Amino acid sequence: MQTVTENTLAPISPSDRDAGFISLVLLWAGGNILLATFMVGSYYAEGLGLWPMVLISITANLFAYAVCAVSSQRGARYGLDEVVALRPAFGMKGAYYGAFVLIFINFGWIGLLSSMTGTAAVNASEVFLGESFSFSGNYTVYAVGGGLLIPMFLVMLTPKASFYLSTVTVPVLGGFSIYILFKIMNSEHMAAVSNFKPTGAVGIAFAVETCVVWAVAWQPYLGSWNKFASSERNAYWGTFIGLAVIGIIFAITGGIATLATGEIDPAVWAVKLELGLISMIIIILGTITTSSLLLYSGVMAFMSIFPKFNYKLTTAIVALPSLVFIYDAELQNLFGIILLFVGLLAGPYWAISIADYVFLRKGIINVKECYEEHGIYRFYNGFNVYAFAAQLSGMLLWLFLGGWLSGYSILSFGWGESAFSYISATVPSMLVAAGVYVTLVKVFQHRSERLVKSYE
Amino acid sequence: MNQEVVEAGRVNKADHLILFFLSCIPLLVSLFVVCAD
Repeated sequence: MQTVTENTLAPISPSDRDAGFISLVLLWAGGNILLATFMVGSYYAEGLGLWPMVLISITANLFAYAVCAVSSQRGARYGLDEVVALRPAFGMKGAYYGAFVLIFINFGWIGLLSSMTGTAAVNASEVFLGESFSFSGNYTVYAVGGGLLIPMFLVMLTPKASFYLSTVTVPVLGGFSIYILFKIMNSEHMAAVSNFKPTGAVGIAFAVETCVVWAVAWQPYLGSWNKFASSERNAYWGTFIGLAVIGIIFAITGGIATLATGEIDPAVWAVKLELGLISMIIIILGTITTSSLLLYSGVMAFMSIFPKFNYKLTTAIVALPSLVFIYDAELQNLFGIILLFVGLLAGPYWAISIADYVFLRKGIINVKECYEEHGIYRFYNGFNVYAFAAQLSGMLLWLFLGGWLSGYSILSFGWGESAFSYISATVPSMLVAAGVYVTLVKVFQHRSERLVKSYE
Repeated sequence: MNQEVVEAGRVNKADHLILFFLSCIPLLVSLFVVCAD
């Protein structure tokens, strides 16, 4: 049987890298078109008030997604999947960490999206089609069908499903999103929104943190799709523009809707603002597009750890555990937990991988060695200890600054919480992790034969 | 595994510079404006 390269972890050959700039803009915009993106703005809107919310939503998202653009270069230049492109920095086995983070974040994401799909579709169908349309088990049908099964079968059918889907869904859903924004801005709610007195419960640092973490959450997925890019520049700008434009529009819309209704959950405010039908279309199409995109990356991550597994079986293995979250979803809690998880575990890790590629390797990776178990990227028993030492430093700093966000007193430090209000947590922890890694490599490079070899 | 690199359309310093001005400067300005307010 012929093996399709895109169903394996092998590098994509240049002739198969055919995703141009527009395709990538649409792909990444499609990835970010989901109800949860509305919640980014909702999360800090009441704390900041209207104009600071709008200003920070624009500028913090531009800043945060710029990091995604920089990180997108590795996959695009060499046609490498993200989990493979992590090996030069962390080692052949050290890259498993990134794969595990991706797989477990995926369970949460797909569960969250499916759960929102179920709730929103039930609400919207009852409002627009009447109570008589409601039936026993309707939540399960909408949540499991729209959020899980359709994306799973699409990804089984072709990994490039997200590219095809996004060319249809993004223009439609992007148009709807702008319509929603204008409808809210021209409604009678706008007077209340303009006069809203900020509660001050959360500040600017919290808003920047939310936008940054949301963008960092995309890091594990970048290489799986940018490996199909026809050029590095297309991936760089396609990723930035696609993610940032939708990230900004959705954060502002969500923020304004929350100021208008007092609700954070889009499934609730959409009904209050009489946007049920449009929101239902956005929810279902957006969830299918995003879940397909997430699933394929999760499949590649799983196959990097268990390379002998069959592609279709792996797709089911990666998709189905999300069922747990569909029935156990206190939406805001799940959203908060995912953000915490991403900031702490993924932020420093991907900062190190970017620093390794940009500052230490100057953009040069040996592709053949990325697949050699005992090659130059083996380091110490498969792990680059310097990278993990740097990761630890970043995580400790994050816990000091942002541990209080978890709500656990054991992780709350008074000085850290005070410092958080000035510098947030994820950006400094990423900078420190990257700085410590570069310093360690510079100091120990000439004393360690393994390190010297890996940079040859 | 061949080392197959697409050299056309590589990201250069101008790209990084434009991205920097699009991302870091607006955030710094907005932080200044919001905090000063």
